[in-house]
Amino acid sequence: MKSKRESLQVIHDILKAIQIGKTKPTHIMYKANLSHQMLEQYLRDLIKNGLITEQMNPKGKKYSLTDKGLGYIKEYKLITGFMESYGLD
Amino acid sequence: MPNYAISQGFMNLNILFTLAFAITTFLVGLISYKIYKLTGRKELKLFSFAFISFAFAYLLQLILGVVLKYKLETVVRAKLRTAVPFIAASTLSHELLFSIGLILLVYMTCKAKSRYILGLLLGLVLIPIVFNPMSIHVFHIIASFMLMFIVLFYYKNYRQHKNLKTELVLMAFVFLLISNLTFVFSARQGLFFILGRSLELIAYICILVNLRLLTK
Repeated sequence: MKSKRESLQVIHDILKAIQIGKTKPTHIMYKANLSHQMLEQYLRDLIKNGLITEQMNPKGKKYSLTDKGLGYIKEYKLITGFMESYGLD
Repeated sequence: MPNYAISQGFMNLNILFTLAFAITTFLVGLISYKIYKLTGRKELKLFSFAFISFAFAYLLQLILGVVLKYKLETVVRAKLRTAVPFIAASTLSHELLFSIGLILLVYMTCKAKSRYILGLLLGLVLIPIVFNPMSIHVFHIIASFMLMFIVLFYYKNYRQHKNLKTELVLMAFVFLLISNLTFVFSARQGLFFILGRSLELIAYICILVNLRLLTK
């Protein structure tokens, strides 16, 4: 189980991977340095929170960022700084 | 506030202070809620409710300050009896809202997950404030007690992450604690009220500087 801080970093890594065009699960998995099982869990959470969307096509699943996901990347420094300052991490 | 024998000059300044406190706490609550919407973490939701509760507490105090300054001087002075329930209700509402904010912070810093504990804290803190005629003292003593726990939490947080931002938050809560302890004595001596408000101002300046560093 990752700490809250590490988990914020992992989410950031996944979203950044998708942003630079690594939209397939295997590519995201290598880029974010996660096991298949953990990636599945994170992707489910990110879809649930509306940060990414999942598309099914004949070649498999593909993911893309939502505006909220882009917002997370943009505000990442504020998120981690705020959470550290107020002991929420 | 109505019990304090303080100068009219400071009352004017006090209105500006209260406005600044309301804006600062609202800003922290707003940023926290924005981060909650992005991350979905429940502790951020609680934290934002805590600070929005502080903001509404200060807003009530602001309204009371403005009414006391502009209305009581002219219209209500002759009808003081009608003004007393309004002052009492505003003061009590301020105390309750501020206490709710502190309870949420204590609950969050204790990492308690049970809603029963939150209910227990709410009851133990709010009931004495509502039913005690000397509630202004009770309020500041209970608030100081809760702030001690919060300061301890932020001291530990500072030890864990030694940087200017965590130091500013720790300082802010230390100043809030000292200001609340000062307010305990303010009903008898107006100077303590001025000192308490000045310390509170320093606390919120620390929070504002921290926000500036975070958004830079």
